Order: sequence, then structure tokens, then C-alpha cells
Amino acid sequence: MLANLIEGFSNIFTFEILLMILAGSLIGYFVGALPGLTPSIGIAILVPITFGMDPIAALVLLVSLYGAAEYGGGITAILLNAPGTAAAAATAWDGYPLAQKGLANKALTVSILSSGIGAFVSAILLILTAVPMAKFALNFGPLEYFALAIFGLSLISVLSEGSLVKSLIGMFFGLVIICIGIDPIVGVTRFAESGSLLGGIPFLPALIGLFALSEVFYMLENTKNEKAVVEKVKGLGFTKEDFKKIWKTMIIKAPIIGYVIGVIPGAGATVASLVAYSEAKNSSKEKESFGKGNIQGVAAAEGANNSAVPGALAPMLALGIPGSASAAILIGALTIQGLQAGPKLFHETPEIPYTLFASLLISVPIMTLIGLLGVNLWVKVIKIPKNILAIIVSTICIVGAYAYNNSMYPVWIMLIFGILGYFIRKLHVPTTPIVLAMVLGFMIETNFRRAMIVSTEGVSFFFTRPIALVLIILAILMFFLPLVKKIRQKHKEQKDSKEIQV
Amino acid sequence: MKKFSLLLMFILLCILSACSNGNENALSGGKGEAATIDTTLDFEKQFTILVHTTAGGPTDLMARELAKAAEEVTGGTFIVENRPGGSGAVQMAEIANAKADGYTLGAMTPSQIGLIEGTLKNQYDLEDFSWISQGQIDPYVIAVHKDSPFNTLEELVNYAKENPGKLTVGGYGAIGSGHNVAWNIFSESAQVETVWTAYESTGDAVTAILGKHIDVANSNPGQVSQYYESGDLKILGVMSEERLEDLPDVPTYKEAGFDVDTSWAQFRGVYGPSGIDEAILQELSSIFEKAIATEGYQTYLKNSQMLTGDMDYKEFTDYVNNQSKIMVNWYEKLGVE
Repeated sequence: MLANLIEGFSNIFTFEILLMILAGSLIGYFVGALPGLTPSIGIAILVPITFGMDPIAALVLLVSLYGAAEYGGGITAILLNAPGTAAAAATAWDGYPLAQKGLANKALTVSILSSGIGAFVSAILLILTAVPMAKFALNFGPLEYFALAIFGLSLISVLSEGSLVKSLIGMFFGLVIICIGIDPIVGVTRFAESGSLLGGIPFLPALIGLFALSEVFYMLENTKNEKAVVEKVKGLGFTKEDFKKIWKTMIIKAPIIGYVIGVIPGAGATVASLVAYSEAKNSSKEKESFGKGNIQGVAAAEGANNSAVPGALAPMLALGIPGSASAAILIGALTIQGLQAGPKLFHETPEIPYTLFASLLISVPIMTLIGLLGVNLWVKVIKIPKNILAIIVSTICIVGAYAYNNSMYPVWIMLIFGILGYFIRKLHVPTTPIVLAMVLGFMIETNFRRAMIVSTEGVSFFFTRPIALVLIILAILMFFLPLVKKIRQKHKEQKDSKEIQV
Repeated sequence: MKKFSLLLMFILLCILSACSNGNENALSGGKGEAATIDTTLDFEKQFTILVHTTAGGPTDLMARELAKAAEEVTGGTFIVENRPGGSGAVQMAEIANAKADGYTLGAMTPSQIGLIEGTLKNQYDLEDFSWISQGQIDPYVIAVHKDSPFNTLEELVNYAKENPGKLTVGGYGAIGSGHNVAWNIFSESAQVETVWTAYESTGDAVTAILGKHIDVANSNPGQVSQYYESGDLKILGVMSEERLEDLPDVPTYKEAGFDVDTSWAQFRGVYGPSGIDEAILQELSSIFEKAIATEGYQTYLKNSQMLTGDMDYKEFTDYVNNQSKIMVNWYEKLGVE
């Protein structure tokens, strides 16, 4: 393996390959930063250009783009509350409040550092464990996916702020939205007669509306034309104390969570960032500050969504199974090159996967460096006066939604969700559970129904599958423990106040 | 600040002027064409092929390869654009409303026929479109895991007969999908009762069979052949009249003892709006015929283990009509609306 890796390194130090890394990273940033252009769309746009290239150069270009795009999504999430990619939704929860407090520099620096470190650690994990991890992923059948998604949904009690009832309302709203379209198992239509609605509500445009456009409406409420503050800071606004606070999340937890969830096909970067964010919040001593601008939240979300990228490559390279939509397109690109991702790749052309591994180790630091250089440039965005910023953000929302699949349908969805989002937020219904439900709803439904079709023994099926059982138990604990804690705290407070009265 | 406003104004002006230019062009173009109906194609103009799936899928790859080959043949420009959504309904609506001049075309699979006969029955008929060229055929195969007790289709059928409703079969799409109908054609002829498990893509179903979560996968050669070579999967039969070049050891259904109608196949092709002039249809059909014969396209077919399409627009129209008949028949049997 070491020999292969060294050969891989020797392959990439050519002008052409280094150029591909640079080009991929730069294009990726912009693809990621424009809400609506997802990493998979970016890769798809570039695939035809790679037809004439050498397979290694093509793969390096596309993978560099993939990684950088997952990072780029965080930039607009932090600055404008407009997640550029679905996986950056969790980045916005703490990143945007930080930027509002004038700490945009710090938030951006934390996000790029955690992205870079996460991707690097995850790339090393990939090199060491690609084949066994990919085989592990095969254990995930319908029941395991269902259990994983239920576990994800149980995070609602960690993530939710304030009223649990309102959180549940948000969650069920998201779950109902997911039902629109053609039934995935028997093919009847639900809440949709014809046309675009048959394809369901696209997640990313809805997310852009819910987060960014509703924020624009908030901006318009405040007619005073004030500029956002940016605190003057030396360098990048990232201090030793910050590092001490978040190093565990940044170097260990987020990368591992991101990698493992990334490996499981169909789970991907979005689920990874939600899980890592909840983990960070749950294990933190300052839970209340999450959602109001805690850098640990940014580090967890961004670290995990970037670590999911090498994760998704594991089943793709080792088994030919796509771990994400982007990896599916990469498989298509390989096919055109006359190569087949999967067991044959490692045996017959080991130079391809190993060169890719080597290129990850080089491209991630390059990507991080470009990102750090960009921080002070991006921050200028929020110095724009609010009345102009509102116009720019709404334009970006519309263009981004249109770019999602070159049609007006996602634009309407984005606008409707923008208006809905405004009222939802006015009613203090948190948007987090809606996002959680929309990410996981489809996975829950299809896999539960599939599991019930496959199973001959009904619900007791759960007890024969250890992975699913463990996940379900974790889900129950995840859901109830924070509630129990909250109730206990209330009791204690009441007791204390009574004692004082006495 | 002032500078910035000016810049904004400037950008807005540019966009506005660009839009108005576009309108003028469209208007004058419209007038010109109304006056004289073109009967030949102009390769200075750009051709667009709309694809109803996201980029990177097999249909998208076919469209891109076909476009590349057509450019080689004609020297013109063929652009591929993706219009996913509504299981193809979004793309169909755009094709149906496109100008019937032959410059706007769509990639197609049995999905489009499924929409015409199913969900969009009240909106479209087969006659609302021109069926232009068959790009490829992707035959169906039946695969099981290497640890599966079944080594032949007969063993599989015997088990299913003894245990009705036990065998789980996975493949792309809900009941009534191309893969599901293919399996039903087989299971009807073998007189067995099985359970269908729908997956979002053929690849997902292959993943499930690799993890032994289903008993049987209804798939396509390109999706399973590498696992067949590596020994992870066994392929028990291919739904085709003849054995496949790349899978010489795999019997056809007929050879395995099940005489089924193999005219039902996963195919991909090119279609357009109805009303395209006969001469232009003929020209397009022969362009794609030549494109299919190019070395590049044939290499792609071989790499992805598909069979070449070889029908002109007339044959293809008959073919589509026949597929539609089989589909309607199965929709009735399966109770799909």
C-alpha cells in the first residue's frame, strides 16, 4: 500500500495535475458559495470537459471541486444565512449569528480550518480503511437506514430551542412536505396532480427560501439603513483560546463522524453535519450559546460535511457504489474514461485510487490556504448597507434556485418557502426541525416500507439486526435524555426558589 | 457608495439590454420561419438535447455521448441540458411545447411512455411526439448474491413455487416501472409469486443485493458485470433473444427454460415534439444513425455493456408503439393507474 501511495505522489507532482487541483478548488468555491449550485451540479457541469483528459487529471479535477464546493457552501451560510449547499444548513445556525455580532472573520476562519482539517484527517482514514469500511457499509439494509434516520430525527430534542411542542410542529410540517410527489414504493401520486410537483419539493431551494429569503424580509422590516458591524481584528480573528475550545471537535470528533456517515451510501454530508453539530452541542458545557453564535457549532458542522467527502469516496472506489449524488456522477465520469469504479479498480489499476488519495492530501491544504486568503475578502460582503444587501441576497436566492435545474419551478418553491419561513419564524417555530425532517423524511419512509416488505416477521425484525437495534436505542436515549435533564432542572429551580421563599 | 450604486445600475442596464436583444431576435426569428418552412437543417444553429434525469446517470451519459458523436458527424453544435423533475414530466412538458423545427430534442427511456400511458394520460398521447432514434438497448438480467443457494433460474423458480410470497426481488422503481414489468413478465411465465422491493436507482438495488438485503436483483449488465467477474454476484439469466457478448456463460431466459416475450427492454433514444417536417425527421434520423456508428460511440457502448440501437425513425415509432401496448397491458394487470 505504501509503495502504491508513493507512486501516487510521484504521479501528481506534474504541472497538469497541480493545475487541476488549483482549478478544481477555485471553481468549487464558487459552485459551493452560490446557493442552488450543489457540488453534484458543479461536477456534472465539468464532466463533459474532462472527456478528453487523462483519467487521473480528470478525477483529480472533479474531486478537488467536490471538496471545495462542500466548503464553499459555508461561506454564504455564515455571511448571508443562505446555505450554498444543503450540508451547510447547520453551519448557518451559529455562523450567521457570529457574523451578525461582527465576528464574521472568526466564523469564516473557523469554518475553513475545520473544513481543511476535517477533510485531511478523513482522507487519512480513507487511505487506511477504504476497503473494510466500504464492506461495512454493505451491512446497511433498509432497516439500518431507517434506524439511522430515526436516530437523526431524535436529535431534534438536542437541537431544538425553547418549546418542544413548536419543534414538533416544525418537524411534522417537514415530514408532510416530504410526502408531496410520486409515492416511491407503489407509484401513486400524493398531493400532486401533474407537472413539476410530481417530482416533490426540492430540498435546497426550499432551504434557501426558509433561511435566506425570510432573512431578507427581516432586513426589510428594519427600515433604518444601518451597516453591519465588523469588529476590527488582527489577522483572521482566530485566537489560541478559540483553538483550545474547539480542537477536539475540529481534529477528532467532526472528522470521524463525517467520515463514517459519509461512507454509508445515501446518508452523506448533510446528515453528517447535523449529527456532528448535535454531538458538539450535547457535549458542550455552554449549550445555551449554541444557535446564538458558538464557534464550536461552526467547527462541528463544517468539519463533518467536508469529512464526508473522502467518506463517500470509499464505497465508490472500493465497490463501485456511490456514497453520494456527487460520487454517482464521478462513477459516470470514470465509466466514460473506460474505467470502472469497484473491485477491479484496486486490482487492475491501483495507480488510479492511490493517485487520488495522494491528490487529496495535497489538494486539501491548497484548498485551505485559498480559503484563508479569501476570508478578509468575503467579509467585505456584510459591510454592504442592508437595503442594498437585501436586493443582492434576494437576487442570489432567485438565480441560485433557478440554477438548481434551469427552470422556474424551484424559484417558485424558494419564494413560497421564503414567505412561509418568515411567518414560521414570526411564530417562533424553529426552522431546525423542519430541516431535519426534510433531510431525513424520505429516508425514513422508503426504508421503513422497504424493511416491512423484505421482512417476513414484521416489527420483531428489529431485534435480529444488531446495528439497527443499537441505533434505535441510541435514538430513544438521544430523544429523552435532554428532556429529562430539562425537567429535572426545572424542578430544581422551583425547589430552590421555594427554599429561598421559605 | 455612489460608485457602487452606479455599478449596480450599469449591471442592471446590461441585463435589460441583453434581454431586449434576446426578444428582438426571437421575434425576427419567429417571423422568418413562419414565412418559409425549412426542410433542411442548418448546422450553424445550435441543437439542444434535454435530459429528464440529473447529470451522470446512464441516460445523461447516453445523451452526452450521442451529442458528441453527432457533432463529429455534422460539424454542428449539440448541447445537452438537464431538466430533472416530476419523473420526466418537466422535460416532457418542455419538449411538447418546443418549436417543431428539430433543434430541440429530448433523451428518452420507457419512462416517457410510462408517463403518457400513466400519470399524464389525460395530457399527452403518443402522437404528440416524434420518435426519432433508438440510441441503445440495455437488456435486463437477473442476479443473485454469490452465497445464494440458487445457481440457475430453475432452482430459483422451484424455491419460489414452494415458498410463494417469500422471495424478495429488488430493482429500480415502483410497481409498473420498466424493471418491475420485466420481472413480472418473467414471474408470470414462471408462475411464481414474489415480493417487489422498489429502489431509487438500479445501482441502489445492486448495493442491496451485494449486502444480501434482498434475494434477487433485476438489473442491467453494466451495473452487475464487474461483480460477476469478481465473483460477488451470480447472473442467472438475461432477458434477450441471444446471449450477450460480454456474458457468454449466462443463458437467456428461453435457454434457461422460460419462454418469455423479450421485446420488453430498457432502451434509450431521442424524441422531439410532434409536427416536425418529414424531411427533417429523415435527416435527424440519419444523423443519429451515423452518430451511433461512430467509433467513439461504439466504444462507449462496449465499455458500458449495452447493445447498439439500429432503428430509423419509422422503425423506432413502431417500436415505441409496441412497447406502449405491452406497458398498457401490464398496467391493467398490475392495477397501476
